[in-house]
Amino acid sequence: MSFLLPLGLLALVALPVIVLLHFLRERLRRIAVPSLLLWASLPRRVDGERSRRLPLTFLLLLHLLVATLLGLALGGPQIAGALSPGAHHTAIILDISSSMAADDGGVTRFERGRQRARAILASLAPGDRLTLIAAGSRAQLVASGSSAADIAGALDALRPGDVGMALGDAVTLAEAALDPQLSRRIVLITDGALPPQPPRDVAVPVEWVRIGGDRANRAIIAFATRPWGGRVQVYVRAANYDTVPYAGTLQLLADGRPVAAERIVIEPDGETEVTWTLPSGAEALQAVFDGGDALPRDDAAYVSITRTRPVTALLVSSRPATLRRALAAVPGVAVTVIAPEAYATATERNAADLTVFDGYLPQEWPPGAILVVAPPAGEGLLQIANTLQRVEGGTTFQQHGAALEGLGLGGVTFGVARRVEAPLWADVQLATGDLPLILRGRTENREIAVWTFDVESGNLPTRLAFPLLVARTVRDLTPPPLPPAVRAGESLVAHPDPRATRLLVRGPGDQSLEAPAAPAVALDSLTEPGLYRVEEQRDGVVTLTGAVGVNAGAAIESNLRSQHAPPLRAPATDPGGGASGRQMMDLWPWLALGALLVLALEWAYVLRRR
Amino acid sequence: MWFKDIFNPRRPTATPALFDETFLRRMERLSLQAQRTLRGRPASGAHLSRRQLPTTVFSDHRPYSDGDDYRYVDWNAYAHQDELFVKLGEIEQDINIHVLIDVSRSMAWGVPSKLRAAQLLAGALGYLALAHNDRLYVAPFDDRVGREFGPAQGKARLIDMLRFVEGVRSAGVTRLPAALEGYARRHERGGLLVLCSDLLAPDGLDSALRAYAPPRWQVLVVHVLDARELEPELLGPVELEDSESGALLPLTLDAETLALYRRNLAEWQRGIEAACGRRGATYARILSSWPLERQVIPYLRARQVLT
Repeated sequence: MSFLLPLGLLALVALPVIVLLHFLRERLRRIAVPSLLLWASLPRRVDGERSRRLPLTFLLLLHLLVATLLGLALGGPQIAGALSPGAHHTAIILDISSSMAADDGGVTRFERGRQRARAILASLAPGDRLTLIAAGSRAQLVASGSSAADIAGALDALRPGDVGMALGDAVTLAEAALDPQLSRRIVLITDGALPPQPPRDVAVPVEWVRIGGDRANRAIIAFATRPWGGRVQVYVRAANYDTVPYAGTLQLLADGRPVAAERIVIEPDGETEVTWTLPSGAEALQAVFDGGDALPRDDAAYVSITRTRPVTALLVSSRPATLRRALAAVPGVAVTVIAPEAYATATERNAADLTVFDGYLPQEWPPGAILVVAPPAGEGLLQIANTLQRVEGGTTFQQHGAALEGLGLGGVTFGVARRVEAPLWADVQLATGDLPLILRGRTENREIAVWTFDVESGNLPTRLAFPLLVARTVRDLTPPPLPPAVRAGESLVAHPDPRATRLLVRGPGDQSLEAPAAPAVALDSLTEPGLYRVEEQRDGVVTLTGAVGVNAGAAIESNLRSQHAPPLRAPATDPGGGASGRQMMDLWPWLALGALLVLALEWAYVLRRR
Repeated sequence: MWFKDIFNPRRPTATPALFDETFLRRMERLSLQAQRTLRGRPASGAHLSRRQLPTTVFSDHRPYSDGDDYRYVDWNAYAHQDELFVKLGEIEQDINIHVLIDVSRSMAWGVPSKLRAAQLLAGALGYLALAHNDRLYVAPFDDRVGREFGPAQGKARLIDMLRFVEGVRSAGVTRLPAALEGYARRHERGGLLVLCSDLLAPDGLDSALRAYAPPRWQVLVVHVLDARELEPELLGPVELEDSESGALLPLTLDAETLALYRRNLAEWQRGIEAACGRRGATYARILSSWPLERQVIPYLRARQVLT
């Protein structure tokens, strides 16, 4: 017998409590009789002897029995039931990585794996259970239960395409999903194209079903760009997973038009690298070559070369020179300057991605990100003191936050600043003593930073820290750009503009995804290689477009030759109760029922005594 | 509160009426067996008197003596025997019936209480007395006799009598001699006394019955007991509390002590029975749980208390 919840046995401490209560009750039991006339002459016992002795009454036995039954029931006792011939629980881990899309004699490896899974599903006996886990870049429990139709439907909906296989997570998921009361096993259906795995102990037997044989393949396993003096430098690495050399032409396309081509020769099991320098202006690049192999999806690679997200900044200042120069130096920022007097009527005020208020504070926050510099005294949107405080040079600063990390402020004098009461939505990122210098927070879907100091009154504009501080602040306040490319199956996390209401992703072919805008939108189903167009929409109007490349080529996925079995240390048979074919039977319902019956007996006994 | 007895269904929540009409009609066929030595009034009543007064209803003769009423001379006998004889005969009379109910606190003990059994019996016997045109007195007592009901005669007083009986409440401690002696002094004419009590009094019944000597008095002692007094369901260390005095008695009860208790009880009952015998009283023991019509009345009939 075992206990599911041994802590429940603590309830058995009620036993001595019951004995104590009976002992006290026996000592103090006072009973009214019509008269002591007939009792007075009876011999009396010594009190001490009476108090030491606990009479073993029927009621005491009943109470102890009830407490014992309930205490044991709370412990969740189980015993091994009778031998049962069926009752298996199988977890199928199906590899949905990119390599499973490789052709293997007319059908893909994935299709062969799916057939194996269907065969296991068809062999389920009544009472058996099956759990289907898809192992791609993430492990995902797709279906579980006894319904073959449900599991078959979920199996049909699976598609290969992820780069990488989270084998460890999948095994953990399977171990957790398997019912310990049944005979358990894990069936791992994979082609073995796995990244190196650390040895892992598995609690249940694992059966590795190897799919696919040795196949030659060539792939673009790296594709990247970087700005290079007003131009774009492109880097491509291609690999040949074959026993014979490969010779072919690597083509480069910019926005779909061929812009460069190079003849490449790759040795067996070798790699080659190609770089080009192109004029800037294109939005996205594609590298492609004719691999003529079993996995065409990794013969092309895509990358977006839009590195920055355009920001329209509105500078509201009566002396804008310093800040305008610093803002304009930030890549992708277009600055418009207006005087504070004109702000109330300016048409740009609701269109700006970032509004910088220098020495001015409006009645209400505008949409988009906001940087407040040297706000005037008042009690409007911020609580700002009247008096100006001088921040002396050489003082020490308390600084934290991503925008200020590693920023050297030695020798910087911030001039004069007004004390700003930090609102609840903001925290102080830079302060000297108890005087806050930079506040940062988020309220009503707006990113807001407050510089309490006057930029012109100190030496900050003359220091290198100033443009860095401005650039970091702009990047911190505005959403980050999309990544140039992600691996197939990898989550694409987009940070749309806070004012956007919808995010639309159009992939190759007819694939499209739509999601409501949020500060961070994770898109998990980008498995098809290609260039994906991302649109931010605000009330149906497209406000920003971008592109992301999704690539299937990776060193481990593109090598289609035989791999070693994953280093899983698993027992040959299920060591749990289920492996022997025995089902564990819960005893607590019977114990609780017994307690109820005893309670009923006790009730009847007490009533009868009255 | 309505739910206070939810776990004790055996305890009634309201006291039902003492009798119903059909029961009273059935009771009417019975009568209290009064001794002929009791002195009553010959004006009414149904009890025969042992006194053989000169009467027109002939049953015996005695020789004429001076002063006898000539109207009762048996002239036929004189014609035959040349001697004057006076005709003697038995007359029917009514008698005084006194029902005393013990209302000490010990009578409230038990389920149903002993007092309830005593009330039922007193009501039934009282009804018999009224139905047979006897003069009825009903009185509660503990250490003294309380306000009494009566004298009442005739069925017209039935409702008053039942209300009185139903209204008695238990209180006080039992003092049999003090209560009964005072009552006897107030009722020197005597009569049939029905004493309904558990007789749990430190001073004995013997001295109390001294004032109720025959032939003036005929005494029926109805000893009301609860079944649990006969067989207490107690075990282990207990602290017994006297329901009348509140005195406490710590005891450890086991089979041995309970056997001693039962022996005490038997001796006590024998003592009461002997005292009743000595004083010419009839002793009848009933249990409070006995149904009146199905068990108490048949028992009293078997004991020749009712005919």
